[in-house]
Amino acid sequence: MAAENKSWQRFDRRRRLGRFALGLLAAVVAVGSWTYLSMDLQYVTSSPAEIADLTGRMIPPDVGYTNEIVGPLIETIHIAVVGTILAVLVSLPIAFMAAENTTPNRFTYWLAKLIVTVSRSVHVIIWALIFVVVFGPGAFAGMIAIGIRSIGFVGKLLGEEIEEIDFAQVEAVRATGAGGLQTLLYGIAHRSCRRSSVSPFVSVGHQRPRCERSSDSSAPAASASRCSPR
Amino acid sequence: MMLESIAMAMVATVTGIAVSIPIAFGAAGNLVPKPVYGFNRGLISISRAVDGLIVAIIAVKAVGLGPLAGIIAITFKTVGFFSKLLAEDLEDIDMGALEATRATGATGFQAVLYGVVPQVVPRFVGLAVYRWDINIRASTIIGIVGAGGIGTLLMQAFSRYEYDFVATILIAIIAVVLVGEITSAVVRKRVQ
Repeated sequence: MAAENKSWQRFDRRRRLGRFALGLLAAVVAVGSWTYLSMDLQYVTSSPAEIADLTGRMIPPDVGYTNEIVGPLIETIHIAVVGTILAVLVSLPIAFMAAENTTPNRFTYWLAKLIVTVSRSVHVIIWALIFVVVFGPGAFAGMIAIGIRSIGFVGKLLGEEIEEIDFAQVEAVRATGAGGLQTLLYGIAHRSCRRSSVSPFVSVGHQRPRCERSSDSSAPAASASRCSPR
Repeated sequence: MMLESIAMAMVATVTGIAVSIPIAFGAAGNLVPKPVYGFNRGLISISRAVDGLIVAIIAVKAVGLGPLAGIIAITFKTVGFFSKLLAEDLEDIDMGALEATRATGATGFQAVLYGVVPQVVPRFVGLAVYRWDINIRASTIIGIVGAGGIGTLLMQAFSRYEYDFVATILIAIIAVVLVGEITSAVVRKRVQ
């Protein structure tokens, strides 16, 4: 360990010990987790056969089903589009509440943060399960689920974007005697259009459907499985 | 069950990162020849293209119900995310350092170890923690298709119409995800 004049070390002893301890901690946690799970590995040996069975029956794909696929596929895209519009509309006020410089007071700020967090930490499939119970299986439940889930995403990104705008202009608008809504419209929304926020706005709007379509494709799995007990 | 989810996320993060490192180096255009680059980028695209739940369904078919399928699925998804971002960081490094190390007579491996690795370590740690946070999120849901963790319980509760139980599980998931998110945000702020 002792650094001789010939051997060169990048860090001093304390930092190396610290790094070693952190690495050790990570290893212990990982190994501990593995033993905690105490997994049964007996089925691993049969997995090549299972995969061979799966691919063997998957290939060649039966293109005869194409007609049945087109309808649901279009429905999927509709769910994504309507869900996104819903999400953007609902998340606008939430984004203004979640941005520290436009929020009316502490309470609304934390309320918006809570909405964003809850919406983001619950998976879209779980939202879908909930709304299938509420509205019954179908596209409407999926749309609402996608919308609710996206509120957190759009609200968070848009809120951060609003926090970054130049506030001098907002104050200038307010100084002309504009009311609260007018300030919002001409000071913030207008500015958003002019400069930074259009791009995030548009990009948030554009980015979202892409994620949605991919997560959407698995949403029917949940609704389909919920159909059976009904 | 909640602990099972967290343990799954821990194991899958470690295995995923272990698999990702060679792929990330292989997918960095400035370090490897074109064919290797193309191959590794292909691997990353495959991993990113398929949704985690679909991978989980296939993994359940392959190794049966239980946390192992979940670990495999989350590992698979981790590889795409982690390798891609790490490869991009590797492409952004200052190549001068690598050449300087090489000029001292270092072999290929040593040159990478001393010329490349120190430049990406902070980002590496940040990414690892970030992915751990995402994996916690993923492991709470993946049980829905039978791949272990609290999702299995959630699905059972749903199919028995025990909605009070469902609510408890949801609150537990939100709490765990929140703790993971805060931890990851704090660590990333300190590292970067």
